[in-house]
Amino acid sequence: MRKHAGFAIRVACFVLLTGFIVSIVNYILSPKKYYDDEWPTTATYKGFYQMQKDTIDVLFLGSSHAASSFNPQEVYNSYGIKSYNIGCEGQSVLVSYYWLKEAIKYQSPKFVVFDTFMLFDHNDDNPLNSSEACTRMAIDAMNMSTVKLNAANDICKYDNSQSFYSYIFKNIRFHSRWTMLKEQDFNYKNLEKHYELKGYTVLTHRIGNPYYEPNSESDYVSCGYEEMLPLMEMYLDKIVDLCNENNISLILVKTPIYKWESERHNTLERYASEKGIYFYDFNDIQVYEDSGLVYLDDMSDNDGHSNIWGAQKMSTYIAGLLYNSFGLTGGDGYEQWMDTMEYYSNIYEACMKE
Amino acid sequence: MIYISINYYLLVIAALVLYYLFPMGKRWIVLLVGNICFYLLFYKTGWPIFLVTIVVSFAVGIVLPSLKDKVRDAILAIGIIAVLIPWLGVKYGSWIVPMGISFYTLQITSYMVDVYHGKIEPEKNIAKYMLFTSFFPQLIQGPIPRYSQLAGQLMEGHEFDERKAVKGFCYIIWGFFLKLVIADKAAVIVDEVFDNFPTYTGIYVWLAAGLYSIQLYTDFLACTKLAQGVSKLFGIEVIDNFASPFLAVSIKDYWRRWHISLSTWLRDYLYIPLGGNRKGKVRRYINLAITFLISGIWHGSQIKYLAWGLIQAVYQIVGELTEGIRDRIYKCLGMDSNSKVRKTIKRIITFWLVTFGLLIFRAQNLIWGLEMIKDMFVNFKVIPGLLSDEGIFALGLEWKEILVLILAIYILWLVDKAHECKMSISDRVIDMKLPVRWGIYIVAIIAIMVLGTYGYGYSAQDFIYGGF
Repeated sequence: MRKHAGFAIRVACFVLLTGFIVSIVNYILSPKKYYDDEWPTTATYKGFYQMQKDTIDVLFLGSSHAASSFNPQEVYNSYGIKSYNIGCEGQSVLVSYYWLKEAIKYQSPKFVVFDTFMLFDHNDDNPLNSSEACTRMAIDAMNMSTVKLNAANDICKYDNSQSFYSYIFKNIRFHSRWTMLKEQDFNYKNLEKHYELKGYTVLTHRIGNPYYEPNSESDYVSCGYEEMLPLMEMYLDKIVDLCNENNISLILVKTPIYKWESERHNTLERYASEKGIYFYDFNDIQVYEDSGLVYLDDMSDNDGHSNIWGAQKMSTYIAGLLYNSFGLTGGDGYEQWMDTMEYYSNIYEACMKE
Repeated sequence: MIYISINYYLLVIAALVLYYLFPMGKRWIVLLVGNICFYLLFYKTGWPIFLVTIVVSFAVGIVLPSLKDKVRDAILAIGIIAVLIPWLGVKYGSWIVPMGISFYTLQITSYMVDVYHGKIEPEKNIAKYMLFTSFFPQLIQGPIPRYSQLAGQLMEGHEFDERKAVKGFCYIIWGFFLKLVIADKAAVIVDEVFDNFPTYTGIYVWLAAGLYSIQLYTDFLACTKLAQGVSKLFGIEVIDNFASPFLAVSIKDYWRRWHISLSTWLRDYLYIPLGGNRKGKVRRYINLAITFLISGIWHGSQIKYLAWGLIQAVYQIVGELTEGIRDRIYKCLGMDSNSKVRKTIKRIITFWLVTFGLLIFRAQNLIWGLEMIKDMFVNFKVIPGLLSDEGIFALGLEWKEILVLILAIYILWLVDKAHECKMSISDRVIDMKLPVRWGIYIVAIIAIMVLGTYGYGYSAQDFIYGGF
């Protein structure tokens, strides 16, 4: 055996070297979305890993509705509360669960604000209620760990079209992108430095439907319940359990969306009550008016994405709620939120001029 | 796809570690367990049929030496029939297919016949016999081993041999290259044209037919190289199945180079017992025709396989009968037997003769295949815009992918030429300095990984010969 020790060492070195090169090539081959993309999923998660450990008090979670509605800079500017938005485009509740699990390895949030849109039927062609591309984009940005492997395992368990190994060896999924590589695929190191918006997505259109009307008590009484998708509900249960285990207060929200059925509101209200958690529905006339939302002006489209002004109102409302009702105190002088004030201010001004 | 799957290589690594940890005399047990795990992991059905075949042939092997005359003949016949019944059941009935049945049927038959002729001693240990019949790196697609060549190697156990292991690694890389960068990439165009004929006609059929020959060759060569590569890691040598077949200068030459383990099996256990070339020219041609017809039947139950076999026999017979005339024509054209131009012309003609046969092999059925061959000549014309996004780049591979395919086929041609000159590329690489050879390995791995045709968006291609 001893005479082969040198060979074994050479094999180990070769495997490490090859693995290192393969990982770089695979990273280049994988699609990535940075700050210059409308939905900068990669920047959101790569930025999250660069936040100082245990500095974030509030995590926003959910689909693009959450990503475009909760602006950590506004939350900080208004009440000094430190937050990060780990919501992303098409975030299945399964992905929400695993990203929350990953996030609490690095941070100790006191609150998680979860947008509930994906609990109901959104993409019935896909077992995860979202497209494969969105699921991949979010999980591919996660560092390699048992959390990621468990996430990949669960994804493949429910979606047979996906392969577990492709989450480890991304070339299985993305190698054919070699014909369409662009400069940004090679410039990822620089692009990953831009996470100033901390997961928030800026949208600037003002095209809310003029016929939108928030719901009121009479709407809720006159209708029943719409069941959540069983798999999505299962992962919501897991989120609830995870929050309980880590002393995190979970707050369910629904951002404004045209034709939000009262049946869904009722289901979420019932679920929140059963689990002893809070639910704030921005489609409810009370919350809608308290937050100062004007659907026509504050929405970027009618699919539930608010613009920068709508996000400003919702972020300030949630921050106020956390500060006043939940006793979460903020403070000044937190470097990673202070440093981005000017950046955001420039963006805000640019949006005002548009 | 099993032999290029991650799970398969995890099994290989586990078996390798255990193999070299076990005492020398017990290493065969690891291989046997590896075979069982392979079957359980990748192919859970059909094993009772395989097991019965093993037990019956083992028993036949044990009793044969003690029998005499007609009883001995009868037992051999019963043994062969018992082994053939499941194979016939699968090919012509609806039996559940055990893994690699076409290959192990021939392997087991040759074992019983060799015992019958006293060429080998029968195996007394059924576990060892089971190991011989089910050696996992070559179970599904061969090469078809002979007991005298393989069994000893499997049973005796091997010291770890660095050079052999590295060579095995080179073979595995080469196998992946052949499968993913050539065979499965070519398959995209081949499938598009064959599945949509007569939408595609003329030059497209020429392109797809030529590519299919290359696809079939590289696909099958890939599984042979992977079998040889993995076996070498255990210190075991598996026989070669190909010797640069597309450098053949005649159909006869081609059959010396193509699927060698099947060709030699048919020669030894069918052609020669039929009389071979010992009983005059006419009998020889009849024997040749029977042998190729059986080869066709072995490939499948459809008439097209029979036709393909017959075509091979006709090629050879006509080739032999016209050899003199062709020699005279070449001489008239000023090309002697050493002429490079003559060799090239003969290679091109042989390639296309083989390709016409393989076109029928690949086509939906015989009629369709004949229609396609007719179309190749009737509708042959150069189409404007052939090299555009409306031309061949619309067949499923964009121009960059086609360029990769052409380069890869060129590399294959260079390697085949080197082998023709008895040069081993893997030996040359292994003898290079460490940084250079590591560089070559890594570049090859990355190239296969990036440029190969596999994964999401592609319908993964099973090894073609795994289906026979």
